[in-house]
Amino acid sequence: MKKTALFLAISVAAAALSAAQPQIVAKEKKLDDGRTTYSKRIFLNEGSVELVYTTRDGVKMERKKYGEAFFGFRNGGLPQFNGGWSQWDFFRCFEYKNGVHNVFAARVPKSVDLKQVNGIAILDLVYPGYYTGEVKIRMMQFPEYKDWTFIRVAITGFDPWRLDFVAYPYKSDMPKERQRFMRYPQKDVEITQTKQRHNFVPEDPFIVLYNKKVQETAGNFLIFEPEKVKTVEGVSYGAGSEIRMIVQKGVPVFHYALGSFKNKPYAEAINSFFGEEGDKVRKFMDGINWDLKPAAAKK
Amino acid sequence: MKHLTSILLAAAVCFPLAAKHDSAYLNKVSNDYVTPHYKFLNKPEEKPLKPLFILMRSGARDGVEINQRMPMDITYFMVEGTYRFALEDMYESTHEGLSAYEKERELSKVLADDYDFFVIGQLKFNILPEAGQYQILKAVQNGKTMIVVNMQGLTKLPYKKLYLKPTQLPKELRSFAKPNRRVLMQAYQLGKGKIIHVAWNMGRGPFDRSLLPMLPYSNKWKAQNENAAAFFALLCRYAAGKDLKPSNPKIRIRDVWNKDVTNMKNLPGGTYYRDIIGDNGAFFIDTFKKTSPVGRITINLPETADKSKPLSGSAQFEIVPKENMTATVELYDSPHARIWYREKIKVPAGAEKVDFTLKNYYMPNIAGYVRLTFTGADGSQKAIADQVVFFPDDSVEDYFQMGWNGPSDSTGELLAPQMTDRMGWNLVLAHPTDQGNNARSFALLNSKMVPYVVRITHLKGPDGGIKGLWAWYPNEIKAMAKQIEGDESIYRPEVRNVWKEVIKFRMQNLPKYGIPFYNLGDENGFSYEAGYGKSDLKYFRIFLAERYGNIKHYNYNHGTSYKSFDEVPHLTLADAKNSRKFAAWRDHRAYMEKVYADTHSFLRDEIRKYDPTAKVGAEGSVPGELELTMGPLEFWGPYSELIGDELLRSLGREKIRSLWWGGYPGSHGGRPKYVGPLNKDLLLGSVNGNAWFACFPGYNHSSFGIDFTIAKYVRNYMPELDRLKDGVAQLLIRNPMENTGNAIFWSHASSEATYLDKKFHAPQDGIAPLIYAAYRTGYGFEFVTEQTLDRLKNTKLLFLCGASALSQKECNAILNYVKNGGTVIADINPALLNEKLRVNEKNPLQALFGNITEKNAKAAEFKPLNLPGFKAARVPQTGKPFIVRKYGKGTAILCNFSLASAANTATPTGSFDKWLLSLMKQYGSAPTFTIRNVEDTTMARVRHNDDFSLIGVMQQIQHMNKPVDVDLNGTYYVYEADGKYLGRKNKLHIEFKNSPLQLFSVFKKPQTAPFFSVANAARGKRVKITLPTMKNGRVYRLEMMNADGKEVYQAVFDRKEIAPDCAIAYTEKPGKWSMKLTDIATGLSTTKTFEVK
Repeated sequence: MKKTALFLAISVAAAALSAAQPQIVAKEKKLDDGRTTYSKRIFLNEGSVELVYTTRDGVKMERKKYGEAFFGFRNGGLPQFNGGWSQWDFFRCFEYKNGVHNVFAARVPKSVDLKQVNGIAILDLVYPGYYTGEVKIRMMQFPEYKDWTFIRVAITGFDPWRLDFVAYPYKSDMPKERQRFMRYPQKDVEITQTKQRHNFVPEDPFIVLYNKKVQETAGNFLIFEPEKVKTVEGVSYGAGSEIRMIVQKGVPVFHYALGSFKNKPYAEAINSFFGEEGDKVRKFMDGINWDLKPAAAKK
Repeated sequence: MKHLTSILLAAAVCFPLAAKHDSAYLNKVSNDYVTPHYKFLNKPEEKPLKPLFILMRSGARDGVEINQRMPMDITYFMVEGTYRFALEDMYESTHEGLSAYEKERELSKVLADDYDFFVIGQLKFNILPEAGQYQILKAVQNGKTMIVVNMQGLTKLPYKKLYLKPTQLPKELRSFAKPNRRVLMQAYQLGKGKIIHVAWNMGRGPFDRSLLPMLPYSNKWKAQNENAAAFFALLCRYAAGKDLKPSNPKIRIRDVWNKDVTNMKNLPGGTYYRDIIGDNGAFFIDTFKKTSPVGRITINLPETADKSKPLSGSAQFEIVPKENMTATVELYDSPHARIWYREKIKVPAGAEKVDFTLKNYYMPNIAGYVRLTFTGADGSQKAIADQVVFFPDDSVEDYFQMGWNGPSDSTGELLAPQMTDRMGWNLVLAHPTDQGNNARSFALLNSKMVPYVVRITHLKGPDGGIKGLWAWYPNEIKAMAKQIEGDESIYRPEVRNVWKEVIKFRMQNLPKYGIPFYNLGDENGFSYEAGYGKSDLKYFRIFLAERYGNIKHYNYNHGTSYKSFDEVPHLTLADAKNSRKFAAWRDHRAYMEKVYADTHSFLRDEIRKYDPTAKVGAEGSVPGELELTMGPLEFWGPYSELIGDELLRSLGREKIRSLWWGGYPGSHGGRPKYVGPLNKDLLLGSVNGNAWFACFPGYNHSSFGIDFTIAKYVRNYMPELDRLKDGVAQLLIRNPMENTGNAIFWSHASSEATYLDKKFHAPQDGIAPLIYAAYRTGYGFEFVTEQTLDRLKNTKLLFLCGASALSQKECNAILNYVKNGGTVIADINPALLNEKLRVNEKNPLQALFGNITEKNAKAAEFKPLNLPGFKAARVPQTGKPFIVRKYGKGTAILCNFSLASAANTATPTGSFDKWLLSLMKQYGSAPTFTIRNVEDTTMARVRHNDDFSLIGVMQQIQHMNKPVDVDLNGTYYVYEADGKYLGRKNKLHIEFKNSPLQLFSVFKKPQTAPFFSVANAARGKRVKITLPTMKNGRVYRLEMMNADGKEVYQAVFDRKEIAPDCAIAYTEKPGKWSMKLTDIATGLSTTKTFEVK
């Protein structure tokens, strides 16, 4: 009950702030054991990135209990629920060397920088790699595509193995009747935990996470670059739906567009996503100047 | 298939070893073969781009595909393979200009020129000579661009310094529509120039493309290939430094089926390609989507259908339509896209699905698509969906044509028109790929797959047991095989389990696509030395118990006194032979023959678990005991040699039979000007199909050039190949060979005995001259074996050559045959042994040939022969050349000499043939016609039909200037087969102008052109034809020509079961059509015209 109340409070606060200028609301809490927990709610044009990390040395994540580490994205869900992209763990970047390491769970950001250029919200996050190198994330929200968040992930100094996106289409509860589904243009597959995980070699840049039987009117869209991905795995882990992408070796930069639908039957939403709407967004993404700088934008 | 002697002989006779083959089909690229394509240049460029394409040769066609869309001045240089600059083996070396030295010189010459850019297609850069590599990289450093293409994964050059400066490719290339979104591109600045890497990441095929991706074949392949070729053309423009932004563009819209839909007002939901073609040479393809008002349409149809039954299905909407619509249900074939069925169904607003049934539809291909087009009340199309359906047809044509490999995902619709449609080679032998995916692609390209399922090789393992080949199978099966390694008798349950898993793995999905027959291997074989593994003793004794029935019988044959088979030792072949235990020696060899035969039989049964009506066999394989091995099989190809081929013709006439020939550069007949081996094998009746080795472009045995043109040496053959395909081959196959009562006895046991003692003469030695004489004189003959003794009923003259080991059953049948009036002629030394190779104390054919026994028989010596027309022969004893005995109503003649050696020394030429003909005349089995003026190698075979006789005469190619004469021994109306009327004649003077094989039909009565009628027809309906009365062997060809005079249908038939069944496609034009019916025996034809509405 406590947790639900907290979610509701956060949701209301987010709704109130969403129309405001992009801003970072930061908190810092020194813990008794010498660690410090940093909480940053980073408001973009639409929604917010929820960044919580606990560290002793400013490099390594030292999470001991729930709530000490989040890398969430609160955007596009139904306002009354906690669904949509995961508010706790929406994106992972794994390095496969002497074990599997999610950089965002093992390291803390080196820098967090938020700005707005010509109405475009730009968030830059830089993480160190697990052993070497770094991961630079740029998230952009454009006024003309306000339902979409565009992300560039640039990795140097190591080869990423897998990149994941996690969502809780509609909400994070677990009604028995609900079937979590993943759809891409070639196939529609149930990814409920009891079913087999679904692997495929992607040919198109579109994936949808949604539900059948109940909670059918909200879901999440992902646009990505299939040529950079060896295989995609769809899996429902706990209440969440995960898109896991094993990436091609030697590819250093990845681009994504994250969207969602709500209050719309999934068939209609998916139909237009796989139709003109998704295509329009994909083309827009292809044309983004990812290196937009304030000085350049003013010209 | 590769019998050394025949290879060497054929090579010596037919192949001028001094001359080298023209290598153009492996080394040169022409734009002669044009495939359907769109243009991406509005007008030709004044100065076309001038690149150097260095390509792995199997994928050279890609250059032409790109060039068709954007003409360039391309210089090509071919390397043999991804990892090999040039190949120097016994086949490749027979070609001009392909040695490493010649190729190095060629490259050096090519690199002396100046190019706009370089393209390296699907090869490792460092296989090029170092000087060449340096020249190219130097040119790049000075400002040129090099494009490096790989099918799978970016394979960078092994020089790290080339990749220090990554650079971005322009948006025009990044956003250009590609076949799918799997393509990886990376660019690097090197000095003033660039290196661009492209990896398609869409898999690799059995023979690769070099520049464009291997696309899984479907009805969307065309558009994908279009996009890929256009993308590469634009990449070339970029590499040449041209502007990529189209100016004053013209727009063309294509759908995913590559149809131009520019003029459609409202496009239905789906994906489209917008071709933006500028007047500056630049162009762009933009993918765009139209949202469907009904969302995803799921068509529910069975994956396979029986085309003789209605086909029912439904289409389910994900979003119910908000307006009334009409669904047009169509059936079109793959890959030709001819529409054969069309029906309109009303779909009310709010309907969740549409049900449909295709009744009485026509489908000539193996696969097709059911398409539903939904049209709104305003007449515009709203949505389209289609679903593939396979119509498996495992029938085998009377004359089948098979290629080794062929159209596949790699070649899509580029090779199929040449191989399947033009050549008519619609059967493709290939190893099945995972899940039978290549069988599916073959079916979609209208080829039937002949799966190379397994290969049976029973070699001798290190411990003396049987060792097979398991390398082709997945690791789990290999692990199972490891457990049985070297002790692999088929009778072991563990071995059977491994084979079961192999068959299960290889059979995945295959029956869905209509498999005409399954191949258990090419060059299967076994070693008689194997079969001494740990488990073999047990199974050997079980085998002996079956072979002998009881221990008493065994002891009788072996001179032993064992109480049970458990006591019988398993002697090595050497021990048995050295101790003159003939029966023990033969037992082991018979055991190995049985293991070999039972392995084939077991695998056939396993295949039938997945495909109950499967036809199974093997080809080009060691026969073992031929009748035993091929007994349960439906398909067999000889390990070609004279007697084996004739045995197969005579004993396996119901089998599917083929013998690989074709592109062998220096064996199997080589590459003479005319069709040698196939004409011969069809004339002799040893095959009933054409099996061409091989069909993959880039291979030095291929029938197709690297640009997918038909290779020049094959084009030479085409008039003859077409003549065969269009009815002549069927005429030869469907009419039985002359049988005037001549028979040759075949005893496998006797041929085995030959290895044991000189007294046991090889049957082959005597049979071979009889067969050659039959070819020269035209007499017919059949073989008689222990299993076909009933053939003696129709025999007048029986030859018993080297039949030293005969069973009592065989002897009784021969005695009975003579007693009832038959004549038998034996050469030395008949029936010394029984069929188990036990030495007979008394000769069981004593009444016919005297009591010749192993003790009193002598080994033959070469001596003068006191017989007119013969000089000398191998003679076992002194005395008369012939010993003639009367027995009952018949006659037994013992030739006191070896037929083989007599035939070899016959003087003057023809004496042996004359002697045989005189015997045949004397005993009433003389041939119908008299063949004269023959060469030693002339082949004359006569077939008889109720209506006519078919005389086929073939000269070796080097003797085509020597005519042959035939006395018809009567007056006949003579016609060239599928040719012209020659007149009423009692003699034929045969010349060999255009083909080494000449065929004539001779009739007692004059013939008229065949009568038939055809009713006016409508598109989408079957054509109603009334045909003449059909008789087996009276072969007709029916051709249907459309309003433009183009042949759109052909059938060759002689019976109701395969009578023509044709329809008019909706995609055809109405108007005046015609149909021509040709009687192949006479060449007479009738043409009718009819209206198509």
